[in-house]
Amino acid sequence: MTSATIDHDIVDHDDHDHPTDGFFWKIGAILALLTAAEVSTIWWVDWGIPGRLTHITLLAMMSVKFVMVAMYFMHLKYDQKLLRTVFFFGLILAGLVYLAGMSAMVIFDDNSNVVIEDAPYVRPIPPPPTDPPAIPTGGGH
Amino acid sequence: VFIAGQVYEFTAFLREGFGYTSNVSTSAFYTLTGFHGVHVSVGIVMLLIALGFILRGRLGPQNAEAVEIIGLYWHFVDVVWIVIFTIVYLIP
Repeated sequence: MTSATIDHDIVDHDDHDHPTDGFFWKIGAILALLTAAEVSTIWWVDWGIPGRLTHITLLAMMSVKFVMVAMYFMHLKYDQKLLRTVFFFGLILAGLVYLAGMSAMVIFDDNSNVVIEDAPYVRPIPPPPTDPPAIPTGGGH
Repeated sequence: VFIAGQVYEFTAFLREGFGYTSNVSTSAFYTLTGFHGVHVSVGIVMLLIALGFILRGRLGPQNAEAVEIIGLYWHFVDVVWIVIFTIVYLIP
């Protein structure tokens, strides 16, 4: 799908550009295909594709989907440039704060891999059954 | 469907012994996905209210801005899920 094809679905009413319903269906179809490709990465390791390549591809597809939803469904593409700037400034700032937070918690090793040292998971052991309390026996009659 | 899946997922994890305080990963998982579930629930309520107004014919052009804001909220929740889905569920 080229941007020329997508732009063809923009019709001009009044003094604003309004995408047609068909245009949004096309965007939805592209997003669905990308999501299917993302989910298919579960099997990539079985096909011998290196994990690092899978991660990079996943992050790239995530970014494309994010931008498509923000630009078309949240119509930042058709809003004022100021709104787009504010949105992406906040996004970049949030990303930097997130990275700074992770760095402060020292979860990157020397090779820039993320390492979270969780406590080892131990399945909780149910308490042993207890004997029922002894039924007091009354005085002998 | 999303909320039902999340309830099923949380229930299954809790049965397996993965609680909120089990470790750092489970805390992050429940916080991220739980907050997202709450936002989705709020969005569903807003959309249902808007649908109710539409069915009663009480949502006209004068309410376009309100509908716009609900749509923006919904798609912002959507865009957050795109990140959570990749980071939490897909990247091993």
